[in-house]
Amino acid sequence: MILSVDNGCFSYKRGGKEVLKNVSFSAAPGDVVAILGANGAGKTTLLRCILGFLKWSSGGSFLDGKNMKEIPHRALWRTVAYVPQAKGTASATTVLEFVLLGRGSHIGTFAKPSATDLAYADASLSRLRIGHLAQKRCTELSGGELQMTLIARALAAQPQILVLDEPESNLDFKNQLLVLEAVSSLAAEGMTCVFNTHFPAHALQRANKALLLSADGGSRFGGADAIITEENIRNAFGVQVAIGQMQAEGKTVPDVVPVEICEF
Amino acid sequence: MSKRSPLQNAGGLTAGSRAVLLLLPVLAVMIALAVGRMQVSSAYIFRSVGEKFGMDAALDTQLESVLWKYRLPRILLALLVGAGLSVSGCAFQSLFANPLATPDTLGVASGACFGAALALLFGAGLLWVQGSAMLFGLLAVLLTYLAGSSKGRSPLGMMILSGIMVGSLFTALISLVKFVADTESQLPAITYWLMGSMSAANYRSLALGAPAVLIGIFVLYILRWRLNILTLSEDEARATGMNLPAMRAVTVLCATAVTAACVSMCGQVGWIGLLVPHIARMRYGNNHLALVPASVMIGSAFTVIVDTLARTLTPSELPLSILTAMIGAPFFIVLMRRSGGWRL
Repeated sequence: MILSVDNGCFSYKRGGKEVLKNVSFSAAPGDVVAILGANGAGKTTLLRCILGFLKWSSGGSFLDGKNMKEIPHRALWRTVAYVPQAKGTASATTVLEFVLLGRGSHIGTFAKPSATDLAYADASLSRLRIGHLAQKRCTELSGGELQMTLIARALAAQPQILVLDEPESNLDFKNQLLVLEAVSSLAAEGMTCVFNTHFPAHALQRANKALLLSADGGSRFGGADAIITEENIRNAFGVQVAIGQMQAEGKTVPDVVPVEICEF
Repeated sequence: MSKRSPLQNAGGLTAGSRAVLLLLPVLAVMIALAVGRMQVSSAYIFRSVGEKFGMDAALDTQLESVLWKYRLPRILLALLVGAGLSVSGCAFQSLFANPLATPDTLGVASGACFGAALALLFGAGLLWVQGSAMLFGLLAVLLTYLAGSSKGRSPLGMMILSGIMVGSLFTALISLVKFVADTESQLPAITYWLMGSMSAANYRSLALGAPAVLIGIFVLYILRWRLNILTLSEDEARATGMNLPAMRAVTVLCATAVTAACVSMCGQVGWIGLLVPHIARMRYGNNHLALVPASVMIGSAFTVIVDTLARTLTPSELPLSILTAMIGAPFFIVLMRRSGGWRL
């Protein structure tokens, strides 16, 4: 299924300043799209527009060419899943009960989860290798565990498209790697993954496509290597960076290192 | 704590817990029927119940009248009010994602009380009292929501603060109603009713109030798994495919209708909506699959016991609210400290 945004524009007030101007991109199965931009450039706003939490003032988001606002809620949320930022807002139920909430679009309004729903919730925990957390309370999880639990909840809906809001923010190195590895392996199995990130290096390492938002609401979209360049980053973030390759353990890992703040 | 087998149970009650919870109100009703100024032996109660189902038994007319004309309607009212206020407490806590949200702290109870008092002032019948209680209860929760919500997620403290303000506004309006009420006939009736008591219970008022409470409880019960989703942030809740505005509207309507119907039958009985859901949380966890039925059972049993104490502790009857607070507060503190607090 192809997720695309066509000339999306958004402003918080009618006729007010446009936060997003003519944003366009598309993502096919297996694509990992990284959305980059400085604080306040509208990354989270863009995600919320894509998912229909905010209404585009013009343009729209489409699934296989069909406008998403015309797709019934239940059908839409069986295809697309949303992973919010892990801010410790989780409820004090067990992890398994929490992950089951992700089955909402499959469970009837007056029904409760069936054995099938439990099996899917259990499977998505196993897929992310966090089955051992099932009976733990969400309030007792570490930041990394909570983020993985949120991804598991999204997977429980058996989506084809996964949209993640800064999934690796506030995590240590190891947990960042765990989350990013999960994204990569899901994409390898054909899932479309779209994620916001503060780290250009993560975009280079994990994404095949990148969308760079600049502070004036404009955007660039293309292959990650073509978009994440020293010049584009300088323009979008006001920071001079050095982009290079690190070699260790027989692997080559692209890296982006900030050098200095540019004067405008 | 009983062990849950994850692949058989989505977090609902185990068979053992179910049996215990069903037994609680039954025991409470047995005790309440037996105890009072006129003691009735349990053997007699069984005989009398048996007689109603066609068995032969020698019965005492005076005891019969005490049991079935006075004690039973009062017990039924206590069961209903306890279950109703507990479930609406659960629903409000989930709706506002706030463990302190209850009919009392959100001003709903005060609003409903004012509506009922206003109807009493105009000498309206019970149906009008209920309707008016419902209307002003809804108005109160709406005011609290508008005052306490800011853009996006409402901060926890703000909603409760605005609830307290809305509550005190309606308390002031209740005082105004009392002030203009006729001191000979209306004022005593309104004042007595406001203190909260089950003593006025009769089958007629039960027949009028019970449907709203039972329907409200039933709807919240069948939606109980979705109450879990309601505690999530707005975006997350919508991402489960749930029709969030509809779910919120149904929840607030049911919880307010239940509160208003309870208030119109027995006045304002505080604490139950806060106390009972949290006792249930500490014992059965935060999953509403277990929490809603557990609150119904614990709430009804608790209220029956407290009402029995209210009519037997002293020669003259104690107002219920005094007792719920006096039993509730220390019990609550002990539970809270033993379980190390709670979260939604």
